[in-house]
Amino acid sequence: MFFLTILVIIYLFVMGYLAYRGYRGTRTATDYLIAGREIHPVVMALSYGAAFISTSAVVGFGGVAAVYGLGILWLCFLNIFVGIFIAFVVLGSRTRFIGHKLNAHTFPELLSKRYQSIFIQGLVAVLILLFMPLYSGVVLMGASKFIEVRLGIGYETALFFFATLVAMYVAVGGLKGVMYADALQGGIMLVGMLTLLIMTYAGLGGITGAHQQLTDLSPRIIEIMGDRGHQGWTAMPTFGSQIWWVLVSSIIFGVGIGVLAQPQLAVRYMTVKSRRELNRAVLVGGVFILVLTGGAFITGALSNLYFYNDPEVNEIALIAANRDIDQIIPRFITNYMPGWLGDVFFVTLMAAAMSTVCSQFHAMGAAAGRDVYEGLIGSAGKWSSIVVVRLGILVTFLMSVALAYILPVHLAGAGAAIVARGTAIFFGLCAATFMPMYVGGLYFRFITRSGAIWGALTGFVISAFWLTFVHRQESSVLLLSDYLFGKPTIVGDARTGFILWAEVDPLVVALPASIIVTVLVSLFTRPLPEEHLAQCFETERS
Amino acid sequence: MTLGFADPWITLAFLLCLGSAALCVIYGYLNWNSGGDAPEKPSPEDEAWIHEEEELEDEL
Repeated sequence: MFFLTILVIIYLFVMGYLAYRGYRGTRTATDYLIAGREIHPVVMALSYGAAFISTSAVVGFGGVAAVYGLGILWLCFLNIFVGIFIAFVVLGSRTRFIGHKLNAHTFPELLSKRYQSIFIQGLVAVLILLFMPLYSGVVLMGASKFIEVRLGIGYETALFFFATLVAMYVAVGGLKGVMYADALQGGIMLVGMLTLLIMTYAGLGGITGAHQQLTDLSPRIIEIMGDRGHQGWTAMPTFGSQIWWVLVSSIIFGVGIGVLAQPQLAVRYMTVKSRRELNRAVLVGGVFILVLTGGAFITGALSNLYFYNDPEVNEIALIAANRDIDQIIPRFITNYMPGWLGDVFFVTLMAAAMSTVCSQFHAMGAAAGRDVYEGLIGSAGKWSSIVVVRLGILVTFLMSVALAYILPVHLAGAGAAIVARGTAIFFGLCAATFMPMYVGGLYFRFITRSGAIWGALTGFVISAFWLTFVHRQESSVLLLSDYLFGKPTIVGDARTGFILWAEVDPLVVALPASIIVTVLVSLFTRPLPEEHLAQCFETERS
Repeated sequence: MTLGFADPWITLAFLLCLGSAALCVIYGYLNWNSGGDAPEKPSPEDEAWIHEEEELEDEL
């Protein structure tokens, strides 16, 4: 406890100092752009990675790996290949170029200026304000779950403690992106996770040996979840089974693809000096995501062996954690890793949560002030936009804390991976609603304003409908389907070939529909003015 | 080589994780200096962007 307290104090002191320096002397985004001041690409990549990876990835998806197994490594692959390589190499420089050309500073503003539509700015900003609190809520929840187990206090107390800490940090340092502070958080995360991964493998006699032991333990999980398609932690679930659909459509596809249209990440491309910096950041980013997500997933799956080999527990992780999937990683680290590593990991997770939450509130504050208030109301408003930004942050913060408080109470003991599900829902919504107009806007001249709007609305409406009435995991909790139709999902157990409709993630239906509508409507509606398109698609210089 | 996994799809995913991270490292290394040097002075467009970004950052 003493060591932990000292670590936390040092961490907070250093973060506070960096935030103060950022406040006093440097401005992350703009400083970086100003010639003559070099920020090393390692710093840029670590800060991006810190915003990308949160407690949700470590605690939430690590817990999912402990239950569903290493098929989740496909998500790790997509996180590296799509979330870093494609994002930086393909989307990054175009986003930066068009963002600067059109003088856009937020994600909604970028889309609005690209399509010359204030409606788009309002729509995207409102969706961010309404749904991002779910994501920030589960990030808070992931950290609080760890604090709960590590300090042996109640979840509510842990949540209150952590939310207060975040509020204080934001109040003192502001949300001004302090790239060095983010990079430090990223560095802490990298070292913490790498140590945990090495220790986990070492305790099981090496890499192949550990995997083999997990393979040998598989009959135990097949006994519990085999009827739903589980084939062991080191095998993919049966094709078309319930678990296959959850793992592949929601976790792997939803999160792996959804990362491309994350508002809080897309804006970061605009703050780099040239394409060269993005190329350089790919090097560090790839390794960072490999260690953080791969480490969390492998550790999660292997935790089963630690729980099972403990004579006092002698059970797999899911049962040992009383079916609370979000408690698996915290319990594993607290019970089976040396105390000092648990303490270091405590700070690691704080860093992971803090950096992501800050980037989320940055996006939400900007959406409230710049996009909704300044964009829609403009000079007619009575308040200064600073007031609106603060109010926006306060309200979304309270919404996030409320969700982090309510969700575990509502879903206690249901075996729900709340943190991972919350993240997947948000990522899926972003992909289905924003991706066609964002990626299309960067690369295709023919997409029209109407195409973009109708595509986004289609993606959003289908996602919302599917979540409420079809996708069992959410519809059975939201209860509207039950209220109106007397059953938790309107499709029941219907199956068409390998498609088990109630388990198909909304994204699988909503994203293709959104792309088709965007293209079709664009083909039949008035294109944007040629001079505007010429400005957007003028040859990129760097 | 199955690396102790029961299913080649998992072995493939494991190797693809390492492979894609290696791709990032190789790409970053080979393109370390490509993509254009940062200009000595930002262009007028970039100047305008920086100015407005600073205002937004101040609000936050």
